[in-house]
Amino acid sequence: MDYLENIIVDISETLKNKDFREALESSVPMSEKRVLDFLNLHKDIPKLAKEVEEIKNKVLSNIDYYIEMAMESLKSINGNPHYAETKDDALDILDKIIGERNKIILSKSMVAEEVGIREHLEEVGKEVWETDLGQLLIQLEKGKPMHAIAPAIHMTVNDVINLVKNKLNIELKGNETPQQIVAKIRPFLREKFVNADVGISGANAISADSGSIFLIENEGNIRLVTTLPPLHIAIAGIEKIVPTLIDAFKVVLVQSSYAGLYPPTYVSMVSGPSSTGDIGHRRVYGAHGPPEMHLILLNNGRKEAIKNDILRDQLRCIRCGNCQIFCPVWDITANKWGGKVYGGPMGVGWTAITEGIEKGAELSELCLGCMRCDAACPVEIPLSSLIHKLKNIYVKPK
Amino acid sequence: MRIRELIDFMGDLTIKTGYPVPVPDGFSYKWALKYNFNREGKVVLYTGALYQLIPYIESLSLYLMAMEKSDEGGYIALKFARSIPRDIINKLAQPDKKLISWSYNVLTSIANLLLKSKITFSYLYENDIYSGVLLYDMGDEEKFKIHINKVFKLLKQSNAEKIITVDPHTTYILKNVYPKYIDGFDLEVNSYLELIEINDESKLNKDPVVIHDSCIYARGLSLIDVPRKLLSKKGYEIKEPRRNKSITYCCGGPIEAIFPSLSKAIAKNRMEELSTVSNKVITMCPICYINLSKVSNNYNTEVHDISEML
Ligand code: SF4
Repeated sequence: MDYLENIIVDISETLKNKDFREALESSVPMSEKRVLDFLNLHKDIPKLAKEVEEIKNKVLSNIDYYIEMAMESLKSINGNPHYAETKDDALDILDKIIGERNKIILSKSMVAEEVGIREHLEEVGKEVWETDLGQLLIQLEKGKPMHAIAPAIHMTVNDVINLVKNKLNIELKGNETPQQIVAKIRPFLREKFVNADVGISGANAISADSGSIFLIENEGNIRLVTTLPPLHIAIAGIEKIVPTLIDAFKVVLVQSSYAGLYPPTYVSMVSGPSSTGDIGHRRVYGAHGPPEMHLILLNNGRKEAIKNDILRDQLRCIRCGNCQIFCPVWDITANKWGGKVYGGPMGVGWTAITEGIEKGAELSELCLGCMRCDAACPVEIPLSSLIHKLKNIYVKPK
Repeated sequence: MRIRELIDFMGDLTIKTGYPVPVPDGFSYKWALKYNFNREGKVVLYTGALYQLIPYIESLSLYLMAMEKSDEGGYIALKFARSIPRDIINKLAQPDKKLISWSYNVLTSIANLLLKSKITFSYLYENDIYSGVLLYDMGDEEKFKIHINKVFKLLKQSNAEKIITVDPHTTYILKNVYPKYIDGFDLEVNSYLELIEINDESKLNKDPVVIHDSCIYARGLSLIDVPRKLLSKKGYEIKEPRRNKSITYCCGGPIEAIFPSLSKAIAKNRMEELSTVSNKVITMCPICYINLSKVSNNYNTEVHDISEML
């Protein structure tokens, strides 16, 4: 069986899974409506999205320049930038930074999934915990995230109760409300936050002129991951770089709007390590936050994709997940229609970029060509025609 | 390999016969025999045979599914299908007669609407071949190119300058895709919906109907108001589903051949939404019609092609 047929078999199984269907049916239409209603009221956001589209194009035309600028800026504020050509390079860099430290907490990051950070660290014997609730459930399930923003979108409340009960040994009766489940997990994770040696985060945007990273969230776990442990490591794809701090904030606003999270409860801006100059007018590092901060910028196919006429546009993606919610196929399959990490319309392009164009081409054949994703994308990625071009490659590999 | 097999099968057959599935002679123009249309002229009604093909596409997928007794269709069976002569396949894959007469009725309604609107047109009969849209949609660019050059040549031979189409897929492919692949493509293309006029305005209060916009008309061609105006002139009360117009939701039809059960799940999602608005669903595309019809029983709805309502 080839790759596509395996995906079809997997989706066929999923179609028989009532819980999976129920979970999606109860969340997807609401999510779609929330974003549409919001955009109807906030006409300034699509205009801002247009600006983000241009900002992203500008960076893609000169990526090396902006990588260099971001790395220099971060150095100037005592952060430690790293460039990883491949996933393996990223893991080598990570291993060196982490060294003997053992307890590691993660905040949800698609790039961390792409690189396989959690699995790798577990394999080398570290104690690793996801702290985003959805992502924690994925860790417990040993599955893959099912949506760019809401990784456990495919789980019903019952699924969650069973997972938490069986895998975390947290006592649950089985009739708990989401509120009660969250309250039970909170102390469990608290202990992990406080005792962690290393916090690993992603980044939603990186400003080249200041070396700052921006992180969007509602839970509050990212704040803790990036400030409580003595070492903070962020990892992000090179396409997350934008020229200025203001540009980065525009990305934050647009991404949260199209992800249905406006206004985001928390936006963290991290510019290097924590420091204070309060004692003796001398700057010392690690006041309350971590004294050491690293940023790993990952290529893994992105630079090659910039040069590829079919894939280039996908790199504008701000991972809002709106095309997934809008897609009639994804509404049934979630990221089962997808590669290792990325699924749905955006996932076809991202799988092609990060796992090889042939895999993206195989996935493309399940696209309806209904063009609904095109209508969903804030940065006007021509998703349906990009996917269509990949179909041509499926039929006639280059 | 079954999907590659399927794509190859449809591509080869299109090159060989002009159609992507096995069909009997004359199936595409039988509906027009009762008319005596000119075979040449500046304005040509080109159906692209999509309505007419639906019963045969359906029967082929049923046949293939039965061959492998699997939900997902036995495309390994295609390997056999490719080597079996066409007439035998025709016998094995019996098309639904009701569906055939439905497709002929739709085309008759469309022709009558055009005639009533005093639009003169010619029709190519045996040269009213397939537009190649499925080859394009599945990504078989090479065979698509070969085939559409044949179509273009036939249209030009009939002295066509303006083309009237009857379904969204054929309209889109001729209007937006052919020009990218054919040097000197100079035909003006319009859907019949854009051309017809409703003069016998009926003020009778008819049942409310819910419009299921075709994705291709709505997003590909921005053809959104036209069907609404026509239906309301005819006196229908139009109800809108939440996902309508430029965010209309797909019927699932385009992946029916590749993944029938997924296609059906999408159709159910859509029909569930439509059925909460009205039990009379109006489609304007044969693929939407068939895919939604297949699940309509579960939702107590009836599906009608717009041409039959006008
Ligand atoms: S492709 Fe567009 S809609 Fe989809 S996740 Fe990326 S930015 Fe959002």
